[in-house]
Amino acid sequence: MPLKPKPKEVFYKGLWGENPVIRQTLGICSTLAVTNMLSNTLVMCIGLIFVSAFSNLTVSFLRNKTPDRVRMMFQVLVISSYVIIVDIFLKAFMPDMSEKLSAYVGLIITNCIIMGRCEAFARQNTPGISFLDGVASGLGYSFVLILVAVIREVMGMGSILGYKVLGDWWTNWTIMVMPPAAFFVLAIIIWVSRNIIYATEEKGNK
Amino acid sequence: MKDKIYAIVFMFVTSSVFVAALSVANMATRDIRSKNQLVKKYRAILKMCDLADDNTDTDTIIDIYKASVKPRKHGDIELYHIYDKAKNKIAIVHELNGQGFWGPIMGYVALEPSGEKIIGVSITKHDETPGLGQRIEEEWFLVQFEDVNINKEVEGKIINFLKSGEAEKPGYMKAITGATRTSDSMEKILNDSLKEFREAFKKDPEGSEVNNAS
Repeated sequence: MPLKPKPKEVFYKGLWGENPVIRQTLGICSTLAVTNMLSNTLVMCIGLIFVSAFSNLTVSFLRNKTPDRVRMMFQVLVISSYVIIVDIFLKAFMPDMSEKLSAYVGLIITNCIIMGRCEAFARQNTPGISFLDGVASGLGYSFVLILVAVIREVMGMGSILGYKVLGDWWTNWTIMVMPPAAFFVLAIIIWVSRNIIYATEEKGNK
Repeated sequence: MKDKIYAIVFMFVTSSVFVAALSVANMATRDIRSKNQLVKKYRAILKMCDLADDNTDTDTIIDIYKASVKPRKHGDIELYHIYDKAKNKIAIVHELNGQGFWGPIMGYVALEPSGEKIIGVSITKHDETPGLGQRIEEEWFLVQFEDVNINKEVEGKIINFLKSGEAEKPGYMKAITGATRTSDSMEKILNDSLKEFREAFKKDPEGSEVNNAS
């Protein structure tokens, strides 16, 4: 009988050890698309954490009743339903943010992280720990996105959340708000992070 | 065979449950979402005429709009006549609508009651690149259009943007650096809309009442 995963271990893996963006290179599309402004990024992250956690919970809850042959269809049904709820909520209570995020919210459905966790974790574990895994994966994704967004917004617009943080001496790097910059910044973050992880693992093995 | 039937029934039942839940969520928020769309339009129009700002609450926006804005038909187009508290006409507003770089750009342009000069421009919807084309909604860009006389043209256009690398010159406005296609789209949208307004307003300055106005 497989060992039950421990909450602390699940949380660490989702946040850093098996970070979906840094280690598994998942969810890259939205990492590149919404990170030119921190405000957009934060809303996207909250939306993804919600969808990931509740999708995991629902899939886990019905894991013993779900036929294998339709498990992926069911997972897509669950994920898209929660994404539509997020979209409806934004349109009703945060209309300005909904306008800015528009197409990107719908793209949460296609985010590999959510489907990946439903298939790899929620189907084999109990609802409680699956919910935690969804939250942890969402937080791990958010950590990377927020880092990319801070770098891009500060260098590209001299601001954070719209508030000026750099004086008039700073010349905005227009490339930072364009898609290529997202590639460069993300690549550098993945490179640095993996080196830290490998060095830590080597130290642990010695 | 039993497995297949179970799979079909399972998907049917779960789909029904989720669709029902989404329908409830949709119906529960339908009124507030419709209201948000209307308030957004009202706020954009009232802000241009200094009758409201970003901090004015939703209900007040609706009250001010109902008291101050009268849609009128001028030929084929509809214009919004704006009045102050003393019932003096302070502006006429026309819709902006056209194709941007990524998707449609929509907004409004407000002109003096004489129909000669622009009072303000507001953008309410677009899909332009965040940080680049998105800057069409920023104040520095929109304030350029204030006091432009729509009866004066330069090279056949009311609104002209400077091309990349060009020095500033009279009658020309600043485009957005790094967003040439969006700037070109804005130039076309504004020119088409202002020419449409000018033609309709010249033929019928007062307009006629609109039935079932929103």
